[in-house]
Amino acid sequence: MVIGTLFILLFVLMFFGVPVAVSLGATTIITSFLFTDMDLMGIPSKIFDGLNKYTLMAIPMFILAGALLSRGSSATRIINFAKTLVGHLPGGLPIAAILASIIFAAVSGSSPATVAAIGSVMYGAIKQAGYNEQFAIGTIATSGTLGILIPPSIVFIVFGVTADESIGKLFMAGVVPGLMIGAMMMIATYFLAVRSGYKGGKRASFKEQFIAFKEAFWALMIIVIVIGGIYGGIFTPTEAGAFSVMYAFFISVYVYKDTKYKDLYKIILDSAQTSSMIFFIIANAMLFAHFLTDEQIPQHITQMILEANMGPLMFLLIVNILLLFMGQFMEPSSVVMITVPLLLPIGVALGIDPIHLGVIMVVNMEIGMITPPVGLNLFVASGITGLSLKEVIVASLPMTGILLIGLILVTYIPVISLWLPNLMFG
Amino acid sequence: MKKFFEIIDLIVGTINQTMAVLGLSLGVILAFINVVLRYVFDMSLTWAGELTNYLFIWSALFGAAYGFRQGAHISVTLLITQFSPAITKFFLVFANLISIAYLGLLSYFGYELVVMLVDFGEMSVDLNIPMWIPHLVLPIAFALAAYRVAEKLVELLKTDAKDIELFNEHEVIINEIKGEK
Repeated sequence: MVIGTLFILLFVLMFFGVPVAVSLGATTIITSFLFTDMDLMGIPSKIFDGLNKYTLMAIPMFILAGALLSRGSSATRIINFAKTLVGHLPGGLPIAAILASIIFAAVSGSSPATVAAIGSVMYGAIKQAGYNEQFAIGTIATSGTLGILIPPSIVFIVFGVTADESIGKLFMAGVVPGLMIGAMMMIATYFLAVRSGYKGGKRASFKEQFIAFKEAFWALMIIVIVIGGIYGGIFTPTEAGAFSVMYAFFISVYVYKDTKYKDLYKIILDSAQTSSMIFFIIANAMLFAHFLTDEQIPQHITQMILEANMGPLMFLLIVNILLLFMGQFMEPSSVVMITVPLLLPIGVALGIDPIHLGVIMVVNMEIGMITPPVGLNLFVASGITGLSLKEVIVASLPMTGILLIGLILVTYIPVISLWLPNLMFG
Repeated sequence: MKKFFEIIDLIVGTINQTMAVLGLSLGVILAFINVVLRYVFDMSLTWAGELTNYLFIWSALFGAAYGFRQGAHISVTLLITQFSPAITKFFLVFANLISIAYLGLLSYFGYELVVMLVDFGEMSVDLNIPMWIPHLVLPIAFALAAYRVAEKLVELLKTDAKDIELFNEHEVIINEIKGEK
């Protein structure tokens, strides 16, 4: 009864256009008013306490660091570096776009921002080199999704806070799957290009490679700072975030000189707005999750699943289907916040590592970002190229297939995700 | 009367934006200083973590109020845009009313919470300031947010159903990246 009211109310409010954050909070208030004697004064206090966590503070920091770097010349420098590495292969330019997206994903924590930063430069270049649009747009829209899998990743922070797992471990767990799926995309592009008879460009000399590397050096260093710093145990993710903001500020204002002091206010305001939207969703989703736990709803569902004798493989398949479905209607952070309190206890009861579950969820969310109706990457890709949404969807299909294969591998071979974090934390 | 609302608009906007920007910037700088102190000088400010949290929460909640002005809070518009403009408008009015009611409630109970904390005289652990001070953000920011949605609602009621434009997150992202290039 309570469960039914809760979820029906949530979906009715959400689909009638009430902001996701407000839907979550209002649903909780109405349901607890109807069925429990919860103290309403506790609600703002829970909102405050829900946000009062030092690990969460990594979110605004990585958003700000990413914003400082994506507006300047860093994206172009990274693209030029990627071009000198793989430009000579058949399909060299689209492959360079994927490689640049992988690198940029490690600079920014957001997937649509990666598409916008790399895509707005690469789309024209790929088309000019004689590739058809299919190639240009498919690779850009899909490789950008790696932004939420390769650290730093906002979605991993949200998962870590909700599931009470180490964010450092989650970040490390995203590295190998991210590189693996990125490599699969590059290989697929290579074979598609060979089959279509595309030739590569001139091979860059070692000297050219070195120059491009030097040009991109300071932007690339942020990857060493974030991933190396967390892996080496020097930084917590929040500290790494604070450090990368100051680093990004320093290189974009003083080294690359592509950000002026007068731009800073706008950049910080935009970042504050983006992170406050995520924070407001998190605060309300925590309220919602709190209510679920108080009513012992996750326990009931876990009990049901265990009594139904569902094995881990079957459970993971259901998780995949559920998340792929939800990911088409909602953005990743909300999906994670709503589903983790329900899915995690079941997963743990079935012997699935929470870190592994986190990676599975994020890969599912990646696919959600390039599938209609609300795949944000599709809209961004369509916006920067001027192609219709339908053309972008069709062009992204082959790479979506690759992502699906990646999802199956990540879901059923836990060691892909768990090897690196276990190596690091023992 | 129109003048009056314009002045209110300016004040509310200035508060929201300034708090969002200040909270975020100061929080980052403080966290950074603390990291440097720890690794370079082997000392750390115990209260820095707590203060960073408070600064970011203030930034986030005033930023959320600013976001309501921009209409930037993520909502699922897929279903409501399938109908005729008049029905879409109806749903949007409904959504705004729910938001106002919810934000108003949060502001009111936030105020009650602050009053209670003043009575209790509870102090924060590391920073050693009365707990009601950081919690002041709740009544203020949510009241400003409710006001912002109310403004939106008035605007919406004045707009002809055919001319309603919904917020597009992807356009904002593209403009942000392209704007400075």
